[in-house]
Amino acid sequence: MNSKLNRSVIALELKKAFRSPWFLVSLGIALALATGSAIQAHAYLQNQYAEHVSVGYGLGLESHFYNGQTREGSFGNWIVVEANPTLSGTLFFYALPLLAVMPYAWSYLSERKSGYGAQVCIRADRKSYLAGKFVATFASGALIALIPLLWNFLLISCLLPAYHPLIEDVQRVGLFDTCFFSDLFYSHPLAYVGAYSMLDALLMGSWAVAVLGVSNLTNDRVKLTVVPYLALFAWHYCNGWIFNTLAIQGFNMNLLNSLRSESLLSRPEFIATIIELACLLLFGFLSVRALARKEAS
Amino acid sequence: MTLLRAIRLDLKVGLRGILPVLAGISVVSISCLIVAYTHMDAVGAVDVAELTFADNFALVFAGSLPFEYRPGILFVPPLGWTFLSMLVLYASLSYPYRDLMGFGQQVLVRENSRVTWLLSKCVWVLLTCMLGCMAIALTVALWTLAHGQQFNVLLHSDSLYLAAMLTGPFEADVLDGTGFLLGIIVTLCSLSLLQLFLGIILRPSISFLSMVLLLISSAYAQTWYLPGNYLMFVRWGGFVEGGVDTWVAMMLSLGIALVSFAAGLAYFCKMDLIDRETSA
Repeated sequence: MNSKLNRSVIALELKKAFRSPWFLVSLGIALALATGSAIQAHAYLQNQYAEHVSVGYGLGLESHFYNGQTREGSFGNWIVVEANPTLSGTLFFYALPLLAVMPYAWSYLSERKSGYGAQVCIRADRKSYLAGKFVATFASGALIALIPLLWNFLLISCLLPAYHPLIEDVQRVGLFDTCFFSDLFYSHPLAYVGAYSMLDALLMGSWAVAVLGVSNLTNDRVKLTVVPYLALFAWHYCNGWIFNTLAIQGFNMNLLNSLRSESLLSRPEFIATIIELACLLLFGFLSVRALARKEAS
Repeated sequence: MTLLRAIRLDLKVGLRGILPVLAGISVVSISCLIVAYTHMDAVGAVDVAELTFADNFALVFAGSLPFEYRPGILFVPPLGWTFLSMLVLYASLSYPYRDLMGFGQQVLVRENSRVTWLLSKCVWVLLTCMLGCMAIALTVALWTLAHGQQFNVLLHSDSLYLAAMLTGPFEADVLDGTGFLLGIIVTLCSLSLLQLFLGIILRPSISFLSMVLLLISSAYAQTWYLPGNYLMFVRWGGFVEGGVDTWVAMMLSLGIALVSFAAGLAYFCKMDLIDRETSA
């Protein structure tokens, strides 16, 4: 019976998370930005082609090597790579940490304040209630990242040809050997899309769980959603500022840089990203355990 | 409840916990100045002793040049500028909605004074924004005094070199910076008001997200209708040819404030306060 209670409480939390209007609002905003990125990239390339015709570069129009094949294809214009950078793509990645926490990261705090949490804990196992919160928050945060990334790839694939990325285009694309999964991008680009989408989904899921854990520290829902984002942005700023001021090339050690394939400010470092992911998950897990010991009211 | 009583109460309750935000604003302001002054070593042609309080204030709001497309180079907004603006906006984010869902709701129901409540919140938001600007001004004043620089509102084109390594030619060498400094305060106030009304209509977190997206969009493109442009020294038309105009900033800010107030008031007067979901 206990295991049945566990599953039903977790399933209930998942249903609440995905049926919440906030999940739909966050997903809607993320999808809009992802759509904007695909359309902007396509529009930019169309303008370039039109300019070639108007200047009379007939040979240039026929030769795909003027722009570089990768920059004209769907893999090169996927939102994570953005060989032709767009405003919507940048907005998407800066909005993503906020969007990932909006659906469900504040739900425990809200239910604790309303008294609903106490009612659930009386009727069901408290640990499974919190486990349900953990799973639902992780899943909602991960899907807020995953769905728009895949949607953007689907859309850009409808608009642009699937040219295989060429290593000769590396300067034009900006995806160097230090970037995550760069080997995959130039050898198996579809696998690259899958791998980076999963990485971003894991990062956002763990971020959402870490913010859920901050429910231990505050009673204000707005602070719970916004202050961690400000802290993340502060860390993003410090990451670039420290190395810039010391005039040394450092490595990425913040989430906002890890979400994309390239960073101007510092060198991508996979170990640092894995450590970030582990720290976020650990913080979320330990915080949820601490919540289990706290008073439900 | 009279307006003055409401404002007094808002100041008493709403400013609790603002000190950490003001401290954060000061720290970020100092870091922006440190970043700017590290450019001095690059050439050494800028006489730092000639710079003034207004130059240092402008360096805090240096911003960046509009994004120039280059293949394979992603757009990154000026992080110090973006973070500082976000902190100033955050200072006035949470309290109005929290009050609306808490004690303020009780007052509204009993006193039936929606306009008074809203006006009081507008005043509170404006005062909080100006408090944020004062924190920046105080930090800059201390920096100016520590460097033995002059305490006046003259802007020098040399400071554009520290801001973004711009070497000219510029429209002028020295200008009165009052307009530019006022433009920053007025623009931030209008954005805070816009955030207030979006927070009431949508929710505070979506309102804050909208402001973040607006700031980043402003950093991307130099256009008259993106208000973030008027917060950037490197785009100011006083020195930079084709830059943004202070008068346009004032008009746009006034327009944003009026439209936000009118739309917000119309919505707020009809809003169902009792059945409102208390979410972030």
